[in-house]
Amino acid sequence: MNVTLFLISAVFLALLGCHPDHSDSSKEKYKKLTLTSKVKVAVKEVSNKGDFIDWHPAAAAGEKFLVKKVWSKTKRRTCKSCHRGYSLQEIKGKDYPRSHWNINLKHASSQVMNCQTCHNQNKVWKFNFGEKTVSANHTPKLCLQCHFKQQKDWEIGAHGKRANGWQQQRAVYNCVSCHNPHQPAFQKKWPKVGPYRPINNEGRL
Amino acid sequence: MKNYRERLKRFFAGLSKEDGKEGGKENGKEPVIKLDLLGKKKRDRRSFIKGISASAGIGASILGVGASTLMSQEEKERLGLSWEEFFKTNYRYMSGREKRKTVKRLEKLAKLKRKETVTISDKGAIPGVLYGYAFNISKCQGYMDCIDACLKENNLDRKSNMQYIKVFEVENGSLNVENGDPHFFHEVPKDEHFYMGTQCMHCENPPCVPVCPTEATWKEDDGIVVVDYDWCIGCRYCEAACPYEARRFNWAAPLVPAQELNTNQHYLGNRNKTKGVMEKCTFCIQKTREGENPACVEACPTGARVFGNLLDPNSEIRKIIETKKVFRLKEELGTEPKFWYYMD
Repeated sequence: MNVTLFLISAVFLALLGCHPDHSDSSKEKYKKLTLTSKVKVAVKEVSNKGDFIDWHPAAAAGEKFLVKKVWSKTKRRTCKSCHRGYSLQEIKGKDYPRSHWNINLKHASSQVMNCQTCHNQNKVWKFNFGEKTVSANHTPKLCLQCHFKQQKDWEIGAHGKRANGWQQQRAVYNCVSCHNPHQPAFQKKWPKVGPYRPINNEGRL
Repeated sequence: MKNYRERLKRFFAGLSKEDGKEGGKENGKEPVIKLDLLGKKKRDRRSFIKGISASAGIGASILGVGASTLMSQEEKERLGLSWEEFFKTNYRYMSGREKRKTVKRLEKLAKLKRKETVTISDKGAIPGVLYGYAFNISKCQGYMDCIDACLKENNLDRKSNMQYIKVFEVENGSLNVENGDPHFFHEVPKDEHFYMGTQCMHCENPPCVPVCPTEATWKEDDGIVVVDYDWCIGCRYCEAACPYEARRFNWAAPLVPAQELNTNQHYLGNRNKTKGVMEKCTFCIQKTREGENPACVEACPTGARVFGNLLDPNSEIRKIIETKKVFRLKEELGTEPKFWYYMD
């Protein structure tokens, strides 16, 4: 009887003595990540504002941000400034040198998209947006007509790439800064560096 | 044996006597060196330490005298700075003034020792900032531009091909990075595969920190886990403790071509490291504390990498965590890594 009492009390004491210790150490060891702060970090203004345009996203995505301007290769040119004296039929024909031979259009199927889907026929530096035209800097408007799924991600920052530091006002790259509009999918290529294989002076490890 | 005992007796007798006729040359015996160290007077700990510090002072003065006569002004300065550098304390316990002094000294030493003109920063954590990182596994194509930018930014050893970032090629249908191949080298992206980059996760409960016997590694206030390369003894406990294989060891002194050296450095970041010390990703501390993005984020051609302040509710990283499907590696370990993976 005495022995059982002793055992029970010993177990009880052990529980009392040990348990709080364990919980304390585990609390100290595993801190839960909390994402709140009283201090607010000041947002720095972008110094080179001329390189960006303002973008007003959907209300759910937050405040307005900046989008990087792109340099249009078709700047201030019309079809006639190069193809002067030729009719469209002549350019298409075999007897004349092919124009835009270096552009390989792999953007949707040819039945859905051709040059004139985006490029304005009269003003080549402008792009068709419904009945209006927009400049190359506003191409996201064009892209997001079809790629509306990407719009939400792009506006919150889950798609696309930041064009400046984390502490500055948010500025992102244009769609066509990363994607070639004629072949928007990323191409296969060799990795820039070899894999990580630690080696010592003799050349192996 | 007897002869040996006698010689020993003679030796001690010689020590105890001040003028020591036995020890003199006139007796025709071997000269005995006079030493006070083993004399009758017993030395206590305090006087012993005093003696040692005095001898160190003498050593220093001898060094000074030697330097004044034999060495050039530059050599003298280098020796003096190295001497001060040897006795500096852990960066974590330095005052602001000490930090500035140390950084200036290291800049000067870089010029004298290696003829490098570098600027070393000692900028501390920005209050109200906790850095976080997000990685889009549906966007990464395995181009490895991040690794290339990382090794150039952080002055990594070119000889041993050191890389902080590992990119795993994983077959579709599995999210287990252990089935991935980090040693791929072929045209990317491979069909039916996705890519998953790992690096230091900058855990909130970093398992690599408590195992360090010299307190050479710790977590800064902005969440970056850093190493003081001058306090690291190279025991590699931290490398064993890290569940993400994020730490790298310098088996030899790092070799960086002079024309590729990044001269914009931080004490806890990409400054010169020596043989036998640990190093790791610091989220490019020299850039991020100035408000810039890490080199890997800037270099990524597909925009798979996002960096920002976790405590700012309007930051990109917070919006990704709140709106996308996210997960972290080995979450069950309780390390609370600040590195999220997400997908479209």
